[in-house]
Order: sequence, then C-alpha cells, then structure tokens
Amino acid sequence: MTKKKRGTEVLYSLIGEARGYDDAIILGRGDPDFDTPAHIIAAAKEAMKTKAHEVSPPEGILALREAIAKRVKKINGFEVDPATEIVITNGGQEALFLMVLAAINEGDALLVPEPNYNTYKDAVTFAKGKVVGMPTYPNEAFRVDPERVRQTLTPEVKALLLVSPNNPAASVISREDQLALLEIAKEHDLIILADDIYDLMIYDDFVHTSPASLPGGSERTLTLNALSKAYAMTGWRAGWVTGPADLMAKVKDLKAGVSGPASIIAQHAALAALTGPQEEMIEMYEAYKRRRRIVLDYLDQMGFHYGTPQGGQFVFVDINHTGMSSLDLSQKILSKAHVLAYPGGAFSEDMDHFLRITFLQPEDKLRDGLGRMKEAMDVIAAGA
Amino acid sequence: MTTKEAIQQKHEANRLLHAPFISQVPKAEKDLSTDQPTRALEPAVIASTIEALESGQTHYVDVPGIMPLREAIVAFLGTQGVTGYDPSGIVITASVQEARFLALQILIESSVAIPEVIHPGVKKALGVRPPQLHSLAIDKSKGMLPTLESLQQVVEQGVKVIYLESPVRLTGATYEASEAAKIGQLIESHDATLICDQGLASWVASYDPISSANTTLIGDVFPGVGLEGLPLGFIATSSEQVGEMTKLKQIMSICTSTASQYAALKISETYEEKRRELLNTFQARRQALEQNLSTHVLPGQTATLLALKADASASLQGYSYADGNDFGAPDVIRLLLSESVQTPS
Repeated sequence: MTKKKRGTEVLYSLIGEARGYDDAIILGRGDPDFDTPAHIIAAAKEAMKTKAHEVSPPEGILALREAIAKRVKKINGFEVDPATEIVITNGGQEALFLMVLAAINEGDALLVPEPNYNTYKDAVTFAKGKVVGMPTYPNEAFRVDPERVRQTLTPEVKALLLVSPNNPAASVISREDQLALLEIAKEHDLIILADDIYDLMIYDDFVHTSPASLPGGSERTLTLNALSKAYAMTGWRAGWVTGPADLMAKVKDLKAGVSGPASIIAQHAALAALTGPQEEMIEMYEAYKRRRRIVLDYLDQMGFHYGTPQGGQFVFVDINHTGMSSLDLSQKILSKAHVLAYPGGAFSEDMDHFLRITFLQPEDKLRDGLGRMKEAMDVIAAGA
Repeated sequence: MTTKEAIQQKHEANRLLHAPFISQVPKAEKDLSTDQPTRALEPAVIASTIEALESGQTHYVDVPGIMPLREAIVAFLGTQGVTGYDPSGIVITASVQEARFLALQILIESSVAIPEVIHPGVKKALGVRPPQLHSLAIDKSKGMLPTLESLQQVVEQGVKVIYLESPVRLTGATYEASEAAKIGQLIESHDATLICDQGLASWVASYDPISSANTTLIGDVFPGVGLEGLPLGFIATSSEQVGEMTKLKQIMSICTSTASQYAALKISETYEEKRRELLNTFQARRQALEQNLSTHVLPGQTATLLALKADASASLQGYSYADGNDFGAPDVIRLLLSESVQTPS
C-alpha cells in the first residue's frame, strides 16, 4: 500500500480483485452463502400486494417493534418498550451508525477494544469524535480485560464499545467480564454501545451476555442487532437499535434525518423472519458449526495457530510465522489459489499478522478453497 | 451533568433535527400531504422482484447500487433533459431522504445556503451534523423560488455549497430555461457546488434543468408508480465526488435493499410511458381543481401539486394536506394529486 487506505477500502479492493477470477472462492466477506428462507420471501411478496402503502413512522411499524421486543426478551434477556425503545434500521450497519451518532458528541471519545470492525472508527470520525483504541491479545483469547479498559480510559471517553462475539477476533465477552465492564461504565458514566449481531452464533460452552440484561445495564446501553447474519438477509437491510427511551428519542430523530423509515416490505420480511418458523435459521447455525470444524481442521493441517472461534462466522488466524504482512499474504493466496481471506491489518494495524477466514461457503466449496489455500501456502513457503 | 443529560441537552437544542417529518405514504383516503403520488405496484413488478429474490438476489450488492439500475437512472434523467452524468456517477440510496443526507454531508465543508422555504427533510438531514447556514430569499410571486439576486449574493460572499429545489417541493415551481442557465453560470463562475433536488421533475411538462459541471442532482427513483413501500432515491454526481459519496454510503448502510432495486429495475422498463400517461391525468385534474380554487392558487408548474393560500382550507373540510409552516411558509398549504387518494372536486 503506497497511500494509506481505510481498512474497508482495502477489503473492497480485494473483493474487486477476487471478482476477476471465475473460480474465486470468497472466504473473506461476512455475507452468508445461504439464500433467505422461502417463507420470508413469500411474506415480502404478500406485503408488496397488500401492505405496500402501510404507513411507517421513522422508527418502524409497531408490529415489528413488538416482535423485536419479544425476541430481545427471549434471546438477550432484557425488556424494551416497543413504543419508545426500539428503532428499526436499514441493516445492522445503519444501526451502528445511528448508535455512534447518538452517543458521541463532537470531541467525545469512544473506547474501542481492538481489533474491531472498521465502521465503528469511520462512524466516530463522521461524528467528529475520537477513537481510543485498546489492544486485546491472542494469548488472552482477545479478552476485553476490564482492568486494561480502566487503565485506557481518558477524560474524553464517553462511551465503551462492546462487540461480542467480536469481529474479526470471534471472542465472546464472559458474563463476569461484562459485569466488571458495566461497573466501570457506571463509575465513569459511560454509555455502552453493544453489538449483538452474532448473538445466535456461539460455539462450544460459551454463552452470550448482553450488557443491557445486567443490573443497571439497560439504562446506559444502546444495543444493535440485525437479521443479516442469522437469517441470511444481508440484501434486505433489516436491523434495529434498542435502548433507554431518553437516548432512543435521539436515535429516532437521527433515523428520520438520515434516511426516514425503512422499506415497509423489508419490515414485513423481518416480521416474518422473527415470528415465522425458525427451523432454517437453526439449520444454518448447525451448518456453521460443521463448517467451523472443517476450517479448523484445514488450518491444523497447514500448521496455523488461531484463536478458537468462540462465536461469529469466522476464525482469526495467526500468520506471524510467514513473515509476511496480512495484505501481502492475502493477495498472494488470492493470486495463486483464487481464494480470498481478509487481512487482519485491515481491521487494526496491530493485527497485521492475522487473516480472517469465514466459513460462509457450502462444505464442498469450503474444502476446495481451503485445499487450494493449503497448496498455495506450500508454494509460498517454498519461496515461489 | 451526566453523560446522558449532556447528550439530551444538545439534542433538545438541535432545532434542525426536530424539523417535522413528512410521511411519503398517505395515511388515509383523503390525505393529500405526501410529496409524490402513489398507486398500487403492478403485478409484473411484484413478480419480477420475487423472481430476483428467489434466484438469490438476497445478498449484499455493490455499494452505489446495481449497475443496470444506475444505467436506468441516467436514461431517466435524460428524459428530463439532463445530460452529462455517467452510471458510474450515480448512487442509489434507501430513500430520497438518504440522498439528501448523503449529498449534503459529503459536499458541505462548513456552510451551505438553503432557501427560506424548503422541505423539512433538508433541515433534518442537516441537523445530523449541523453546518453554518445561509438563507436564500425567495420570491412568493414565483412560487417561493429563491431569487437570482440572493443566489448571487451568497456566492459572492464566498459560500461554496448551495442547495436548491427545482421544482420547489412546497409549490412545484420551477426555474425557466434562462434562469436555470444563469444559475448554472453563477455556480461555475464562482467555483461553487450546487445540490439540486429535482425529485418532482417527472411531473413538469416541460422541465428546464439547471446544468453546470458542479451540480449534484438528487431525487426520487421512478416516483408515482408504487415504489413507496420500497423507497429509493438517487444521487447523480461527478466522478470526483462519487467516491466520497460511496464511502459514506458504505459506512451508513453498506448497500441499498435488493428488493427495492430489482423492483425499480423492472419499473424502469415502462416508466417513461406510464409517467406520460400519469402526467396527462394529473394535468387535467390540476387544471380542474385550479379553476375551482382559483383565488387561492399559488404559482407552480408541477402537475401533481397545488399550493394554495392557507385560507383555502375552508374549502377542504375532511382533507389533510401539507402545512406550509413545516416548509417555512406559514400562509400556504399544499395539496397532492394522486390516484390512490380522493381529490377534492
């Protein structure tokens, strides 16, 4: 890289390069390979016929907010008032954008455990705020250490970002740590921005804890979620923010200013996803578990070290032994094997010795891609 | 003061963000308050959209929008006499509001001049990250269009970004060809940037666009044929600006809904024909209404809107309409003519 590109620009550039290969296998982007379940598409069809002129306020239709409130109570363990504490957004990305704008005034800082999803930093920059980065370490399973958070705080920090499972590190914040982090937030009067988007994708014995479910958490936590990952609905743009009514009033006004209400068709599709049959979503999760095993087995064969993914749809792989930067290795694997894995350096400068590999391909394609990657690594190791 | 109190205090003081919200979908049979006419989606559009979704178009797509739709937007602009934009300079947005927001937030460096009478959505978009505002004086006798004198004044003062509506969202008034040309020259000669909302241009029989190399256009995608449930907006801009617009779009929402885009793509096949039919219908309806309410009518060339002096409300019992107060014109009301709502006789 001659000119410093934003991390996201690097990733899009790689996607563009990968598209140049007819046989490319994408193991980088967080876009589930499954198609949206048929009953959700059917609901969209029905909505186009009968609901296309349903009026939606900026925060979204009440029926969907009520369904979200039920989901949040059941899955995340906290209650929200559908009338005042939920705003429906154009995907999890818009939820993230609005959450940051709501919590960060000009000059305020957001404490961001690294590595993290680039858009948080971009949104803070847009809000004319600052990011205070805090490293997490592979030998600590990328734990968001409460003591390290306490030491990293500065007077400008007004909010704390907690993404669990983390993207790209796939680490889950334990309940014990969430409680300790919440205590810090109370002591220092911080808003918590919680990203729960992978809350249904947890593996082994790990357990997801939403900060808003903890005592004293809900009054200072904005939480985002979306249907993109769990229901394979990335193209529908269906997400939400929940939080205390006083902060959500600002989120609602921001939503009206940024884009107005979400598409009524997408809202009805989202309603069908949340209230309809859940079997396909569960089958997808089971498939991710199997695929995760496949990816880890191949990584073992290739001699890579990795943080065992506790949640999410990817694994963060240590490439330090190659002596290459993550972008160089990513580009080499792409050119030799036509397989795209994302460079860790795009998520954080400190993670330039990691790759992020997703398990978002059918099993046969996953095996094909990882097999090619293994051959490419042998060639690269031989100095070719 | 707690962190939340500080947030709330600043939020409550943000008058721009608290500008009224105008629904794009009528709430009742006699709700004439929306910006654009509405109708049911045609079965062919529904079928085509579902076919796209069932064939797998449920994933992320290109940030600025699918290329065939961007090409269709360029063609659509061509029917309005607008040339000089390339599909690579088009960004499809989740709504015209998102188009307003994106264009304003990218192009404004520190200040912007906006008309005294303006759609409240513009103020809301500015309120997300407020800049310094300059006001453009309007001419009531010309349907609330900003005067050329006020435009000249602000650019000579060094204001670099100007926001205009042509047609004006409240009255439907448009600049004549000579005025549009003068504005284009003014913008270029002062190296300023113009953002022009021409979302209502579909409903002007003979539309004169403002052309300049420094103009970014925004608007509604294929209005009037049922896309309200799958709303889309567009930005047409230069190759120099589209990169930054695309970056912010990605940060905001990654991409726009595929269902909306594929519905619009299907609509694009026959939009021009349908638009002309609707335009003829609305022109006739407007003419009849104008005769009945002649003493109250304000100037405007957009067939779907009728702006009236507020005292016309006495003749409109049982109807709801747009309140000019929300736009900065307290003595005005605005009626929408649409197939899906009942028009006063």
